[in-house]
Amino acid sequence: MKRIAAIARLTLREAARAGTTASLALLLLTAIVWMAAVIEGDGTPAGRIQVFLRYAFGLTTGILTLATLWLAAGRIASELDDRTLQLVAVKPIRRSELWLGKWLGLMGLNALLLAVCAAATLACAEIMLRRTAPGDRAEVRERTLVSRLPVQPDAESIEVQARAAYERLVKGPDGAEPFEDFLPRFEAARNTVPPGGVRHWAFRMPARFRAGQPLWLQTSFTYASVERAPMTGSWSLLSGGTTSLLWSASVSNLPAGIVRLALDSAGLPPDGRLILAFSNAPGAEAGAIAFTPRNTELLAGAHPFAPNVFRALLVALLKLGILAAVGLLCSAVFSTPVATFISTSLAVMLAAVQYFVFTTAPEQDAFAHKHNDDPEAAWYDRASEAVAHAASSIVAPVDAFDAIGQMTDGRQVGWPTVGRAVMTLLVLYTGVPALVGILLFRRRELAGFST
Amino acid sequence: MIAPSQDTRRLNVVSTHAPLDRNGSAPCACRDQGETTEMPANPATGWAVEVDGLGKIFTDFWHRPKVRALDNVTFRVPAGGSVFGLLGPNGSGKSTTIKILLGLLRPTSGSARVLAAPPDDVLAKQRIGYLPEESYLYRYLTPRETLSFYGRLFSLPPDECRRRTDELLDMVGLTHAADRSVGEFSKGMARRVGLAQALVNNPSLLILDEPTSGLDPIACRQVKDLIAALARSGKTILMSSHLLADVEDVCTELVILHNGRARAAGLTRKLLTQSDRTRLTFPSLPADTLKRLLAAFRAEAGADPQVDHPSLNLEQFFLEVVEAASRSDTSPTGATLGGKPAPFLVS
Amino acid sequence: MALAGLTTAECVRQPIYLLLTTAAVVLTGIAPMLAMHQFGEEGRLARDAGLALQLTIGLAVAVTTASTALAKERSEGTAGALLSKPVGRTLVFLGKYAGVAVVLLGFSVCSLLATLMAERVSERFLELPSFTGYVTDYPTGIRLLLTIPAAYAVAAVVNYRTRRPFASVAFRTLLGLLLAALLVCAFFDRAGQLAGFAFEVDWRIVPASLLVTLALLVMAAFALAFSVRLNTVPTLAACAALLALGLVSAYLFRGNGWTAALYRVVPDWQHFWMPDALRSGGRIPDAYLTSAGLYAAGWTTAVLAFGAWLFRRSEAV
Repeated sequence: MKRIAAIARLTLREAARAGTTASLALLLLTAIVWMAAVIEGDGTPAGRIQVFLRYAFGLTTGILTLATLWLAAGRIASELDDRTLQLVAVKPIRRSELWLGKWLGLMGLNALLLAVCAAATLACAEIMLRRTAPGDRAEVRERTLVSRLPVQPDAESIEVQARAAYERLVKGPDGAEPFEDFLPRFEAARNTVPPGGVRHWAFRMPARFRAGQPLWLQTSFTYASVERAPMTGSWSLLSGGTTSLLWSASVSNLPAGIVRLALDSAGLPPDGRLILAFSNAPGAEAGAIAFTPRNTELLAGAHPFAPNVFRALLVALLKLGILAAVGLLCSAVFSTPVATFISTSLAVMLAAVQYFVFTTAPEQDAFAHKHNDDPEAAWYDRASEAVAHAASSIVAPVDAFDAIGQMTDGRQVGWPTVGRAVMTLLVLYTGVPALVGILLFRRRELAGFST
Repeated sequence: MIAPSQDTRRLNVVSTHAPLDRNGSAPCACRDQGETTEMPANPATGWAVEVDGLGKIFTDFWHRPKVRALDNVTFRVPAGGSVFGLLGPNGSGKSTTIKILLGLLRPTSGSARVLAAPPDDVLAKQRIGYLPEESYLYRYLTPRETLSFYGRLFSLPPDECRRRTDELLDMVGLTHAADRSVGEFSKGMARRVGLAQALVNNPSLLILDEPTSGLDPIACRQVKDLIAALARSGKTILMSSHLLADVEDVCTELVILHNGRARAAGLTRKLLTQSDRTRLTFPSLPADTLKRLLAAFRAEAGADPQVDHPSLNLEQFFLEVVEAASRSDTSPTGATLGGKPAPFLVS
Repeated sequence: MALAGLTTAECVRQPIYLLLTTAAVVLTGIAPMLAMHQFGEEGRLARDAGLALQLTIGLAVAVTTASTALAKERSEGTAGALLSKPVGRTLVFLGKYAGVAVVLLGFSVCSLLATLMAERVSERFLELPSFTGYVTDYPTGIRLLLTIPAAYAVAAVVNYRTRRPFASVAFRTLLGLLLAALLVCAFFDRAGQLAGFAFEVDWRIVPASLLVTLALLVMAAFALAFSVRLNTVPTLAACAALLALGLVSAYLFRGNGWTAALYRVVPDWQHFWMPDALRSGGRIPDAYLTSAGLYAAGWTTAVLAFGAWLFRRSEAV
């Protein structure tokens, strides 16, 4: 461990003395302060601060993503070029220790810069808050500078219900419509509430949530009627077991988009089971409402913001660790410019792959590129889709950890999430390139032919 | 080696059993291209380095042979107090051999063992020190930080590491520049830092690749004295050089490489001694006395002796001049080696 | 000439130059195949994407070649050997720029050829004797993309047989194959059928590409001047910042007084970015090309003069 620490310390020291740390810090701090000055948000103080937090942390991680790739790609390759690595490799240190020390050094640099940027971002947010009218500050703290535990509704087994309906209604002797096309229509129908209709969601609150603690509803919807009638109706909270009414409130003329409502959790039953219901107003007062699938949740409690920022940045740091490992892997094999190019291209392609994933159906003219009215998708279409799907399946688990987005939305990034991130991002997604990189580095001759 | 002499009246007389050629030289019977003299078998202290049939071929991208750097090289370096020279012109395979011994390259054929372990054995490297041909140091670190870093790689305790750092910086004459970045150093100063880092772990085996490269004559002398002192304290030194005078001065044994092959090997004294000739050195004599002596010599030995005055080599003369100047000049400039090995190296 | 030739040869042998050129050709080639929308005009996405890639990847090419030409020589010590020869520093600096310019021209030609073919690939509605409907000229796209593995394969064979550097052979072969692919296109119509010899490509792209090339030449002058003092990464950062600033300078520095003065000291890259002029059948007039050329020449001269002055004052090691 001492040797790994020595290499890590050397990496940090070199980054500091070469001016890399200072340059990156200056660039990031300038961007953060500039953003705090120019961001306008959605016109509300809370919205402004929330947008600033999202953009500031997003820009920080974006710049550090590129910086990590470039620094990692040049780490081993440049030391091989100028032969400083030879003098280290002849010491009693394993190649794996050398590689890990470099990785740890890069992680240390990222941790330092993330900490500095987080401090600057929070300081700017605090300044923005102090410049807000005193009457709006409470709303900002409630809505933005807080962390709440997201509680998802019980799984509704949409697919099972859809399968039952499909067997009963749609599938005829000739199987006219595939189930894969029926399922999204069924789900959309389930989430559409006509005038006079009711939609329920069942929740089971976590044990640590107590009656009387803050509880918010967050959902989103779109118009499902030609008239584009806004939301008018009532929301109710019922006890899950007895269905007794715990809270109710009417809403009127809410435009499509995100809806946030404060609920009263005073009557929370001991088993923590709740039923949330939306009743659409009847008749001509209202139009049909379509809730966005899987976008309705309760936000429970009100916890300090700073620890949530810390946990979110831990997850962001783990993501940067993947990039450091990929960069070092390339650096162990290729020269500095080639390693930089390959690792950057890899990262850009994997980040962009989700935009190339789309479903095709032979009769969907809008999506299939056709040639001479050929109803079948061409082989290059099928091949490129297969590749895009495969790449997306690799990237999706990493993208699923959107801790920065969660944190800036005021949602808690819990320690279980951090634990899952460690197992997924560190053990699997960093571990595999690390193993490959160390293996390739061990096989590599560190001295070339020279006269 | 002839000691420097102030007496210009000394004469050398060389006689030989074999007829002299027109240059006054006799053919040496102990060197023959391609012939290797025998090394002592299994020294009591064991072998520090064992190289058997070592071959190295550098290939191109298609794994086709590009350069045959080594071809069936065999030699042994006894452990404990020997200074072994790896000699050869540029491109003969000296650096390649060293890099294979250090695990930086893999041999194509044959084998090498260092301190009874394979070259890439991490534990064996604990007892090896290496000075490369060029000082490949981290330019943003100071000498103190450099030695401290390498000391940590050897798992030296912090106090011990600090002590050794101070002693080594004093030994190489860089105490005054201990906190300047290595990137600002001249080649010679960087070389001194390189020498210091090679010794920080008090190695049993010291591998020096062109140790006097880039050093002034005084520093060269001091490095050679240091090598001798380290050998006397029981360390094994393997040094590679194409500067013959340096190797002749310090190496007890050597191997000569050319075009990747070992051409000669053995004890230095044995390889260089012309056993078929004898030299007498005595103070200058009056002309008629000399004439009588020579006549008697001719009568006894039946050979015409060669008579001339001995001369210093340039290095000796240079050192004498500089030493005399140093005694009169009290304000030295530039870096100089301390002259004495660090105490921890010879204790 | 010797210096320029040496610089060109040195840069073209760098693998990164081949990789960047390959990336530009590949990304330009696949852009029309992945497009979901026409953005209001057939061929526009392919045209704009090709020119944008020429500019952004060209920036990376300019910086890496300028760094190879100067910063790397300084760090490796070969600059000292060069400057000890009887040749003035200004001449050395200008010779380096000439070499970098040749390299950039080579890259720009490859990018232009790829853009011409990519524009032809993009989907459009055709009424032909043999076919009526929407069609994407996939055969041209595949020919375009196949030039890359073909060039690499030829370079591999040449390297194997003659040991000539892979990267420079691959680049030259790629250039030749792109020209050949364009020539082959002339024998086919957009529906992929054999037809009489006719170049069915949008030649209006050529002057737009020429303008981007002029921008790259100005950028190369900046990169070379920065490389006198800075290494590759700081040079890249500085050039990227200059590009970003120059693209918005007309907006940022509008007004009078000191903002107008600031506008003058940063090149306005919008002078060289004219894809919008090609919309709905528009053309770039020759007079505009001439004025943009003079603008580029003025900036290049000024920056090279400054860079040469810096180079004369710098130490080689």
